[in-house]
Amino acid sequence: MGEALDKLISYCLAAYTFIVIGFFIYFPIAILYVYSVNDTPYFIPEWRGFTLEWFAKIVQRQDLLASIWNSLIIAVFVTCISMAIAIPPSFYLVRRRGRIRDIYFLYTIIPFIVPWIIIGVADYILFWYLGIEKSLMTAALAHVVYSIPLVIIILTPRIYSLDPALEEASMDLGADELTTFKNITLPLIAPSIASAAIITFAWSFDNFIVSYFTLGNELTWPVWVFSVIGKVPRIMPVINAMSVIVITVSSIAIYILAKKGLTELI
Amino acid sequence: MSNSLEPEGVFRRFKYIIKYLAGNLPSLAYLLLLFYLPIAILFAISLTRPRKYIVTWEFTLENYVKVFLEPTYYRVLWNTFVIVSVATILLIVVAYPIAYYLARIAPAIGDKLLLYMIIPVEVNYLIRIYAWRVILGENGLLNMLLISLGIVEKPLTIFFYSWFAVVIVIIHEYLPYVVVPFYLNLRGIPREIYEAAMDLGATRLQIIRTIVLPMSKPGLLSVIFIVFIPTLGEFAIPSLVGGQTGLMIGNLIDRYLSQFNLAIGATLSFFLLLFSIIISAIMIRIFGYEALYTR
Repeated sequence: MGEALDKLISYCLAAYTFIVIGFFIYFPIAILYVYSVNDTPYFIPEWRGFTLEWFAKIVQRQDLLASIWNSLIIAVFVTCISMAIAIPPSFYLVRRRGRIRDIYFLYTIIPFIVPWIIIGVADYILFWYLGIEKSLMTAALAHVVYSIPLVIIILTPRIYSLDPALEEASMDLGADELTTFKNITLPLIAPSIASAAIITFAWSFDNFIVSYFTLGNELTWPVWVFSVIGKVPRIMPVINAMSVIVITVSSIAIYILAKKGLTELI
Repeated sequence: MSNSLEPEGVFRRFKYIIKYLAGNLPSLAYLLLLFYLPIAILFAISLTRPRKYIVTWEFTLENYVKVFLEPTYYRVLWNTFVIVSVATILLIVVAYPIAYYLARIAPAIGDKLLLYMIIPVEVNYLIRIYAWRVILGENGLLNMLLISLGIVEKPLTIFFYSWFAVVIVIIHEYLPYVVVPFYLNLRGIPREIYEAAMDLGATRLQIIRTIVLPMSKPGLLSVIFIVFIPTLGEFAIPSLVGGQTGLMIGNLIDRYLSQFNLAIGATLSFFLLLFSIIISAIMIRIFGYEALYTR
C-alpha cells in the first residue's frame, strides 16, 4: 500500500516536472522559433507557410547588428575588467578572518544585493553630475559594479574548498608564492574562474536595466529590442529571427561548455 | 645577527602590505567611485527640492514625506510589494516539487534536466518577456485557444497589460533560479539521514515534515536574494506587459528620470535601496552569510 502510494507520488511529480519544463519554460521560446519562419509579420495563430525572409532582413537592419556587436563588446570588456579586479579579493576574503574582513565582505557584496535599477540610476546620476556623456563605455563601467560581487560570490566557495596543504607542500619544496599560484592554485580553480567568466559575460550581454540607464545613443541588444517593440512596424518577425539566432548560439555554447566540464553553471 | 634580520622583517612586512593593497585597492576604489559615491550623490539629490531639469540644492525632507502621503507613490510602492511577494510565493510553490523530484526521486537525470532548464534563460531575459506578449496579448494565443475551445466568446483583456501578466512573466523569468538552490539543498542532505528515519519507521510525509522542509530553509533565503530583492526593481516586465495595474516602482523611477525630475527619481531609488538593505540585513541576521553562496 505504502509502496504503491510512493510510486504514484513519484509519477505525479515526474509528470508535473516535465509539464512545467516542457510547456511553461519552453513554450514561449518555441513560439519565437515558429514565428521566425512563419510567413506573416503578425502574430496570428495561423500557419502561412515557411519562409527565411525574416532571417534575410536581419542583415538590412544596421541598428540591430550594431546592437548585437555593442552587447558583445561590453560583455567582453566587463568580463576582463571584473575578473582582474575581483579575483584577488576573493582570495583575501576566504583566507582572512576578523572584523576588517567582514566589513570588506559586506562592502563588496552590497552592490549585488540591491536591485540592479539602483546601480543604473546611481551611475546615471553620477555621469550626469560629472558631466560625462553617456556611451558604451559608461554602460560597461556600470556593469562592472555588479560583476565584481558576482565573481566573488562564484569564486569564494570554491577557493574555500581548496586544500591549503597543497600550497604549503609546494612552498615547502622551495617554490615561491608566484610559482605556487601559477602551478598549483590556478589550475585547481581554473574551472571556477571559467564559470565566473562565462556567467559574467552572459549577465552582461543580457543586462537590460543597468544598460538602459547608462547607455548613450548606441544601444545594446536588449535595450534595442525594448526601444523598438511596439514602435517600429513590421520589426517583430526580424526580432524573432535574431532572437532565435541568439538563443540557439548561446544554448549550444552553454551546453558544450557544461558538457566539457569547463563550467559549473549551478 | 639579530640586528641584521630586522630590516628584512620590516621589508617582508612591507611587501606583504603592498601585496594586499595591490590586490584589494582596485575593487575598493572601483566600488567606491562607481557605487558608493553615486549612492551618496543620489541621497543628496533626494533631499533637494524637486525642480525640473535642474537640481536646486535647497535641502528638504518633503520628498520622503510625499512618498508616504501621496497616493500616486504609495499605491505603486504597495503594488510593487504585492506583485513581488505573490510572485515569490508562487515561485516557491511551483519550484519546490520540481527540486524535490530532481534531487530525491530522479537524481540520475537531475543535473541534466536542470541544465536544460537553465540553458534557455541564461541569455534571453528581454526576448522572453517579449515572447509572453505574443501569448498573453489581446489577440494572443491564449485568447485564441479559449475562444476556439468555446470557453469565452470575446478575447479577455485580463491577461495582458495587467498585474497577472507581470506575475506570470516574473515566474517564467526566475523559475530555474529558484529550483537550483532548493535542488542543491535537497541533494546535500545525506542519504543516511533518510535511511535512519525510515529504519525508525517514519513515513515519507513525516520525513518531509521533519527533515526535508527544515533543511530547505537556506534555499528559501537564497530565493529572497535571487528573486524577491532583484524583482523589487523590475522595470522591463511591467513596462512591456504590466499596463496600469501592473505598475511598479521601477516605472515611476524611469518616468521621473526621463522627465528629468531627478529629486523624485532619486528619492524613490533611495527608498528602494533602503528597503532592500533592511530586508537583506534581517535575512542575514537570521540565517548568516552562507545563504548568499547557494547560487
